Amino acid sequence: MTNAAPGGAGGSRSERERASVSPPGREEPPFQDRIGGWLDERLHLSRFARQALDKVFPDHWSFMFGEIALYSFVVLVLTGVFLAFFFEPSLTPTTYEGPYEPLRGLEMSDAYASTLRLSFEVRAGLVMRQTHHWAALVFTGSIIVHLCRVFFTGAFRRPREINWVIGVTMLLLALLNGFTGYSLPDDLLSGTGLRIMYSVILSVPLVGSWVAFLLFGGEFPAEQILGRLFVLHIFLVPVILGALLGAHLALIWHQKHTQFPEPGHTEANVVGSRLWPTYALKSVGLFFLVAAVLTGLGGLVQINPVWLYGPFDPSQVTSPAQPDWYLGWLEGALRLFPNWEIRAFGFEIPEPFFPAVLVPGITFAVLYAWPFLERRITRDQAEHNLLDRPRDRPVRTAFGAGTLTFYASLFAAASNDLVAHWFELDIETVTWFFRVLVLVLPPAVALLTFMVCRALRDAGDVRLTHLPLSSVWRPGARSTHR
Amino acid sequence: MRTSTKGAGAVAAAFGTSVLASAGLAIVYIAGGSPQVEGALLLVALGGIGVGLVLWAKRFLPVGDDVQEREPLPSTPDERARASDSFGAGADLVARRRLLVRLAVAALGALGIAALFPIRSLGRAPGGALFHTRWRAGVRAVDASGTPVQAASITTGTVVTVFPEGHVGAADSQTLLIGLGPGVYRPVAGREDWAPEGVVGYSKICTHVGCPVGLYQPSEHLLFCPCHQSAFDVLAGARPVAGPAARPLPQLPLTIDPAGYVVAQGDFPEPVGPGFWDRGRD
Amino acid sequence: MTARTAVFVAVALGIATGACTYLSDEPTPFRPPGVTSDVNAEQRGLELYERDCAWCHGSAGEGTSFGPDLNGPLDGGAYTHFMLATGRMPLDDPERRAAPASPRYEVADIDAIVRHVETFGGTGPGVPTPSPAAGDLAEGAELYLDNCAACHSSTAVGGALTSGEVVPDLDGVSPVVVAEAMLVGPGCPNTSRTCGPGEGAMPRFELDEGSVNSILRYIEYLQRPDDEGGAPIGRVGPVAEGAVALGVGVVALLLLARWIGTRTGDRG
Repeated sequence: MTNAAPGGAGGSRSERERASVSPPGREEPPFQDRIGGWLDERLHLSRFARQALDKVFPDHWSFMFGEIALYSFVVLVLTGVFLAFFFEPSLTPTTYEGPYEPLRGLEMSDAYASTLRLSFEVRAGLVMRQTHHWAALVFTGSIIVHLCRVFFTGAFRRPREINWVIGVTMLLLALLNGFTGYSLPDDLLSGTGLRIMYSVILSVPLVGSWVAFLLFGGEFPAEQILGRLFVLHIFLVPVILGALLGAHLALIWHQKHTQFPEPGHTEANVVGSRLWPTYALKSVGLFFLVAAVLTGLGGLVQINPVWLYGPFDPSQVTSPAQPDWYLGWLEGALRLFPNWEIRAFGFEIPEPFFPAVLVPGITFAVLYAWPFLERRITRDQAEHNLLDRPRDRPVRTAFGAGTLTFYASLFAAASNDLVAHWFELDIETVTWFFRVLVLVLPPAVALLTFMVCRALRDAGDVRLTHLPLSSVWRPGARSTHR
Repeated sequence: MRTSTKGAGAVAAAFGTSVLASAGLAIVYIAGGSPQVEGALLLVALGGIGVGLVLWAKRFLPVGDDVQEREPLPSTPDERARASDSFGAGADLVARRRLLVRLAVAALGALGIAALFPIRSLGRAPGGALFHTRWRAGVRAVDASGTPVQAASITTGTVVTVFPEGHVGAADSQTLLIGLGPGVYRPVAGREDWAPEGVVGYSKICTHVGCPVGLYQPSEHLLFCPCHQSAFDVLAGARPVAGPAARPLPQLPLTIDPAGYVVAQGDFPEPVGPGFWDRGRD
Repeated sequence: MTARTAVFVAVALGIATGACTYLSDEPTPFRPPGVTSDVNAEQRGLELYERDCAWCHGSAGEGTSFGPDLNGPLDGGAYTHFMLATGRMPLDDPERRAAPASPRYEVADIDAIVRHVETFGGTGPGVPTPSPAAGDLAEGAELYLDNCAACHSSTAVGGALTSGEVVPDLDGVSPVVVAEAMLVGPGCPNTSRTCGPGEGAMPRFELDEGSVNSILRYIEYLQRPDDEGGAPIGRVGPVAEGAVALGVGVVALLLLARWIGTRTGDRG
């Protein structure tokens, strides 16, 4: 309650000033009132503040996946700023004279040398670097989990198609920033990945070599690439991501969050906790827990030990060679796709185009278009603020499960050489196994999921773990077990 | 909403542990730092606050039975009409001047196109860069330290990475010299004299997506790329026999100079490395 | 000390003594002071060879239908010592491919067998005597990354090759054995055919002594590297890191979210 002057106009300025300060003899107003009052006088905040603080948020635990991603992003930015003060984004050669003995006296780029310096000479540097990298892996992981939650509950339907499109864009940007980020240290493993990316761009018909030369600044390895990756990684992508994040949150605020169909929940209300104090404390608590897990990993579990990989040299390579996990599906596609090329009249579409350009292209095209595709297929134009239980939409759930299985199989295929090594199998056999898996498992999982969903739906309000197996095979039969 | 102190102990313990951990962090930092200790203490310091806040919310704050109504998202037809009128009135005034509108669009469009030109400054045209390496006729093969390679040192089962003399480290010119031993070389037609004394040379850049083909298995005469497991048969012109590579590794024509050093007879007969749109044209 | 404590201590001591006695090495037979050579080594070598090796390789190393000869251009001290010291030989089953395992013999016995095989007349290199301490660590790193990392991995964890061959990891491998592998190029795929020089799964690397010592010194480092960052999780790179990020990081956060948020049916 701010002691604003009564009325608005009228009264001299000094009168109004006096009226806005508590009369002598009364207690000092509470702290929040003094701050609030100061701001309110300048921004007309009170009504918004009350609406905001009282706003109700559905607080089902699965609605926190997006927050996990958000808070991972916050950790990325905080640790990233620290790293940016020490990292040198340049391929200029230098001779290493630091404390890491096995590389002392060797020639390497400034980028690699500054990463070694960060890891071994800057106090808290290694924890910051490792936390940053773990945060990137968890960031992308939580985005995928969040995307799955949104997909399987149908939260992308009207009126939230815009937010879905923003979300898919943020996923794309997260993948891009992850790739540019781990390529910055210019070590042997990530440099090999950069070479692969260059070649994939080369494979694009008509414009491939032009685009590759423009983006990299010339033939691989080009001098300018590291500086450009740096600009992308610390400036362009985070700014766009931040803006999209703001829009994403603003839309959730404006449209209000969805909720599960439970007693008391309708299409026309929101049931949950008020922002202040419950939701705020829980959410801020979640932030600290996310930061705790990430920093715990950052100090206790080694990640990306670039000093063991050595500086990048275009004529050297190490195995096993995989990218970070969120690009594993692309890597698996590159390993599994057969050596089919199209060649005619001196022109060609090289093989990598199909697994590394066409597959992700189709993937993101379908992702972007999904709300509109589903709307057309189901002819459902209505507004939805209540979520689906996955079992209530067997076709969508089955399709989603099959698709997830497809990408998970590609992801698993990226480690075919490790599987061959650990189980002492012939690598050709392992590769063929994954080829079959990628084609056979997704439809099988989709079919099974469909049958389970239908059985769950027919069995009434039964938990998945209490579903008798026989009802899966006999559609329509009501379960007599409870 | 409970106001009892029962349960407050856990919250207090969480915050208290966090305080200790933060103090520990300061001490560790001053003492020189250790990533594992820092990580563990950060876990406790941050986790303590997190656990404390969540416990506080779960035990002492309203559970979350609040209900709010949703306002309908679509505006009323009246509001829409008024918004449309506001826009329409202004648009009419502007659009009335057809010629000016067209000129304005033309100006913006032209500027937009012109603004794209600086993108060209980012890099040079590919030109012939992808079609040639630094190998020329008569250029000696040197190893990574710049030392010219004697053919006699490439014994059976030996593999060495070499570059053209004067261009050590040139990425596009990296070549593998492999010792096949006498009488083993099975040349592709026209390449009978490309592997003197059983020393054969192939581009090290994989024709799939460009990784160095660093693994050689003499017992199978196979070059193996670690990135996506393409295998190339060294006895059959480095033809791909497994994996996603679709083209053989280009072969470097070699000869031996009078001093016994390995020398190139010329550049590779085709572009090295991964494919691109106009690779077949030269 | 109470009686109970005394009994406990006595029993514990008794168990400890018994265990130590039982688990300790067998007592070594008497040797006069100052005797360094095992005068019966030749006899021992012949004995072991006849007992374990001659069935497949022949009494004079001439080979049989079960195994190759041991007097070829590759055979000699280095190859024999490599096979025995890495446990690849003796093979329980001549049809099986030789693979690294725990060595079957004591060091002295291996030396004895090696010396016996050397008498067969193979012209391969003898057992090398490298000195890794004389090598340069940084030079070794450079050479290792140039020549070895592609197959054995920059972190020396090994990998996969074609045709079912597996590149071994270098953990616990002694410098002598590594030097032998570089000279000999092991991994002959066909157990009944003799491999000539350079016909194994591994190429041959005939480098000068300084380079060899440097590589060996670096490999010694890789066997016990500075894991400054914490638990090394296998040193296989992004595959293990992804598994931990998803299996530990994301899972932990999902469980925490479940703790924080409400569940369907929490409210009446």
